[in-house]
Amino acid sequence: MILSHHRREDRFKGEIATMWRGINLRIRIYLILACLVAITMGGGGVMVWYTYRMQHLLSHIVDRNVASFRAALTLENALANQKGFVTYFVLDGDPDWLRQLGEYRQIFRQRLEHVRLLVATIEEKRALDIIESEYNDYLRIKDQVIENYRTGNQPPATGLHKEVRDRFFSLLNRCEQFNNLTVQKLSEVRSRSRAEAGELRVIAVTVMGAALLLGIALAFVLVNQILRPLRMLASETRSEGEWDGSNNEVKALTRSVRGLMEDADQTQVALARSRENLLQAEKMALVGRLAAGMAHSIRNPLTSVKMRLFSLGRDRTLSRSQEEDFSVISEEIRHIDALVENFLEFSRPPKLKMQAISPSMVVDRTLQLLHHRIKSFGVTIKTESKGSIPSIQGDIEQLTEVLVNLVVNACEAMDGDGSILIREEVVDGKEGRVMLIEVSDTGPGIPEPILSKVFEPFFTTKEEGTGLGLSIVRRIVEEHGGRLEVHSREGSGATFTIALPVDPDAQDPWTGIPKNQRPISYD
Amino acid sequence: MIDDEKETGMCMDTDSPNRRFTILAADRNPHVRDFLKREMTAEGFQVDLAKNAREVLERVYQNESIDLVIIDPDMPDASKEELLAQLSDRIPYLPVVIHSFSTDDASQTKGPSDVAFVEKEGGSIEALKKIVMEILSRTHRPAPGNSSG
Repeated sequence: MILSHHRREDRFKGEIATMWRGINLRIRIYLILACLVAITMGGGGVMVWYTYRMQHLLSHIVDRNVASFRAALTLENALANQKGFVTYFVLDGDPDWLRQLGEYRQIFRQRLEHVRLLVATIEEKRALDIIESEYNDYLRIKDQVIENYRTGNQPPATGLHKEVRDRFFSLLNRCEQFNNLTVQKLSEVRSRSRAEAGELRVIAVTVMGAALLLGIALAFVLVNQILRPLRMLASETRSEGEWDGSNNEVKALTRSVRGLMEDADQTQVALARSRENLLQAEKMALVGRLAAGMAHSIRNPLTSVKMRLFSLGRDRTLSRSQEEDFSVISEEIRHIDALVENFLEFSRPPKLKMQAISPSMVVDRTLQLLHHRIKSFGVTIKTESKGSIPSIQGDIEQLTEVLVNLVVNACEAMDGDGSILIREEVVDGKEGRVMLIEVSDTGPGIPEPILSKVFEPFFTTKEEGTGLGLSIVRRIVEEHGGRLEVHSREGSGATFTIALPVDPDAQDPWTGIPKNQRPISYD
Repeated sequence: MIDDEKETGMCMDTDSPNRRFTILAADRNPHVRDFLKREMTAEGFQVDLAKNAREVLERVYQNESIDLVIIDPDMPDASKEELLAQLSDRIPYLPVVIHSFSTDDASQTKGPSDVAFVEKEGGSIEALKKIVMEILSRTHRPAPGNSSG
């Protein structure tokens, strides 16, 4: 039995807990607020009621009791005033004394009635009845004394006198007692009002305490479940530098959320754009693959043709125009071959063999490879380097190809005498140190409208160009994590700038010393 | 008979010494095949042709007197690596000359057989001839006693 009782208790507690958790936050706040208001209102109401009671107590009861007290006092007075008239009458026989006595008796009766009206409790009423009956007895005897005097019956008068006196004093006593009753009533009222005041204080304190507790609970709920989450949310969602230090979480949160919404919008726009780009890129990739496949297939029959051309070229017994025809065929086949070859290289997936190399190595190799070619073009070439040249990560073959391509382009552009300057320089950029290799020529330059097109695949200004050289070169540079840019003005040459990231932890390729231990700088 | 001739190590400067050698030329392009046959026959070799991987392996098994294979492994019916592996696997001591484009993959060298590489281009026939001569004179050098290569 006890066990089941406990289980029921626990279950009850558990149910309460789940109920509390299940209650909506808003409902919780309303609940606490309602209790708070109810308690305050209830407490206030109770106190108002109590003041009315007190008022009733004081005005009604106290007033009445004070009135009856005063009436009782006058009653006592009226009784006391009756004393002595008989004696005076006995002394001088003036009937006027008796008349005055009658008046005072009348007054006593009136006042008795008056008091009777004012009296509420049975106790008091009974006391008054006793007073009245004793008074009647007293009067009877007193009248008898007066009668005795009138009729001249003296001796029994003295015995009666004593009785009269005793009764008188007893009456007075009874009046006193009655007054005390009233006084008692008054003090009862006082102690009751004090008690009730005490109760009222207790209630007030309880209400205040309860209100305080509820207020704390409300504050707790508000802070924990509204303000703190708001603040955390605001600090999570604010963007850097927007915090103005104000403690108005709602304002901060509003700002943050607006900022988020803006970000979301921008992100959406960017997403749509990038999706489009991706689509485009995928299409391009597909086209690229198709084209690469085609280039592959072209190679086979093309090679067959080349072999036959070679064979023809071996033993030529051709007429002049046939020679010319043969020559053109050979040249165009070479051109097609170059196109296919370049295209295949362009569309080949990148395979870079990266290692720490010095850019100067690349420049030297290029000059070496192109030594004769440059001489045959009749172009002068100069190199320049500024500061100490760090090592970079790169594929030396591919980078050489890049430089070769640029130098040959420059030579072909200048078409005769001119000069090429190859400059190496290290600069500090936003993303760290950058190695610049510049190839400048004194050729005719690149006109503005085509300046942006030079890197496009299949774009060429040369008769026999494939249009792929610069695109390949740019691709190689970008695969190294760098950038290839061109600056040119028509009439004043062109400058191609290769920018490659410098590997900060690399070793100097010449000496093997780690870079950060370089003792000399040529700044 | 032919083996005896080989054993006695007749020198290259007798009449059509290359007649004793049989070359298998394999390429998917018929014109290239014919060209190879024409040129190699002009040098005096016997030339057999194969147009796909199946034919290559067939010939190699059938005709045991094949002395050298010129092959572009880009065949319609087999992957390059597989084909070369099978060639060097089955007859390990058969010299193979790969006549193909170098930019595709790194040239394979598999197994103990001689694998030479000639880049396929307009004038590659000359290089082919040179290498073929070199290999054949190396593997079939004269009997000990004469100076060896």
